Amino acid sequence: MAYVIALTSGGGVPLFTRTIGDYEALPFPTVGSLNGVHMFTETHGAKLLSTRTQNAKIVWQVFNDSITIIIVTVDDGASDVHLKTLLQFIYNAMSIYFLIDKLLEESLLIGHITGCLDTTAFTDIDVLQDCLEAFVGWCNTEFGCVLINGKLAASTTRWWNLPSTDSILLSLLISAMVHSASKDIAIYLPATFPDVPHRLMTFQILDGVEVCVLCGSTPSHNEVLQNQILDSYWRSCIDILKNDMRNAPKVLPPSITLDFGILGRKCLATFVRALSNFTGIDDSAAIDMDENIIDEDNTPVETYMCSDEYKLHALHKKNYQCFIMFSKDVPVYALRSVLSSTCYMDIQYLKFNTWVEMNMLVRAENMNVRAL
Amino acid sequence: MAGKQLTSMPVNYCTSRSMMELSPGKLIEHDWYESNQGREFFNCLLRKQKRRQFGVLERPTFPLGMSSEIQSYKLFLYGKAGVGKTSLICKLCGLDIPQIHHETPGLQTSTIYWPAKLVNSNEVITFKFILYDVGEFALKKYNHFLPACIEKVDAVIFTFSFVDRASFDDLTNSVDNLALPEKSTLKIVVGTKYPILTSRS
Repeated sequence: MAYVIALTSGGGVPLFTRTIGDYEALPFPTVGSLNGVHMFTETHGAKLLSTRTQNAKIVWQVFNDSITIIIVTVDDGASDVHLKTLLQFIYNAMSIYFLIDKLLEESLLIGHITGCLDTTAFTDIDVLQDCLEAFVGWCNTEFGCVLINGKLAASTTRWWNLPSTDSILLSLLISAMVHSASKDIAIYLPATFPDVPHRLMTFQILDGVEVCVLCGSTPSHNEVLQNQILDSYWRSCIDILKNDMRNAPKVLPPSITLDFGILGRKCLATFVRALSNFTGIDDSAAIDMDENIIDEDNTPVETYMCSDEYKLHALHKKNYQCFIMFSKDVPVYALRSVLSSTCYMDIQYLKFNTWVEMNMLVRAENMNVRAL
Repeated sequence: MAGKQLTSMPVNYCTSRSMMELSPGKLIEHDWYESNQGREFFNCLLRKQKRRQFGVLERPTFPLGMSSEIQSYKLFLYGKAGVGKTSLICKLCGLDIPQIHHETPGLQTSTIYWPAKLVNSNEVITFKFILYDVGEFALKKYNHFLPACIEKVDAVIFTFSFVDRASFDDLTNSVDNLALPEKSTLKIVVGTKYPILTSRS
């Protein structure tokens, strides 16, 4: 559950409120008080960042000196970093309410939490990439991608190089909209094109497989749909896609065996993409768990959490992130070594299995492990 | 269940192109979906008791001996913001109806396959309806959406809501003023949210 309230910073005029979960909307006097206490501290030269009640947490953030966004949510014991990131995403998604709701609801997409675009593995990436490049070329643009069940399976270099805010919001926007065969919507990308609207066109070529392009005024939506264009550009990979969809989800590559204490894990790593070739993680990124848990900038790179039902351990380095959920029976002192060996296997796998590289790769930007 | 949803819509507009030559009356068998043959056809469109969604490059496959010609029609939904155009499409396509209203931010199309048996014929035709839906704000702000919707359109569905008097009052204007490329384009009017009205009274 959560409440989100946006107001003008100067006058406290409400811009919008969102209520997620089966709760009554916040009464106007409560909204007024929440904003009032923030303004009161400002006028006294102090900064009100967050507070906790018995079971809730409230975080305030001012954007551009003009808009204050307040979030009230269940206190999950985590630090404010995650909520601050969430507020930043909400600010960037501000004119699209269903996108804000999507950010606040539970979802299979976690890009807005990890700061990395959600990706998925695909067996024959070369064929898919070729189809995409050809289709995007016909559309006279450089931005295009293929989403499988909302997660990125292939993309052009320009799409891949979009700032993570933009690419994560794009994926979320597409999955938040009503299921449809095709879409043509005008969008502003908060980091890349904040002032110029672009057309986002998506085509669901198979149920669950969406081809997306960002383009200007041409080609028209009907040109793509009516002239067998999709058929001629995508026919060659339809069978492979169908086959892959049938065998999804691929949770683990067959060569990796997991420790029995692991309930779930996610390993994200960054590769540098140069044209159509990938360069793998260099050796300096090899896992060295003897390092301190704080890096040179005094930023923590590892964290763990123990609850009654499970234990969590997270590792965040420049090039990769690894999140593991352990059974509660695994002793705390073993968490690091199990994480180390699992993460090592994952990274080695990514390094030597080129077909899967693109899919498992994600950029880790502005991510702070304290958020976990 | 899916069959009942389908028959709740008027189905005579399949004749829009050749309407002049046909006499009024029903052209398809309305209770065919309950027959054994009808059920077999509809089972091919269902997955876990819900309508299967087909991508642009997919089409339903019927078992051998159950061939059916696919007839494609383009329909454009036109109406005031908030009358329930997107919800109507969700209902027809067997998708969950959105709980919270939000304006459709641009153009979206949905495809629905709908087998029907013609009266006085053994032939089963599968209608493929491509429904064009644009949010009112986007339609007014950007001028490329309307041409995309009315180009080669077979029928326009004018929508009004039973709980919004103004949307009904606007109807005559919309029907008269929407500039369609062909005069013969079929015009249909659909009212939405009737259950809300009846539950209120």
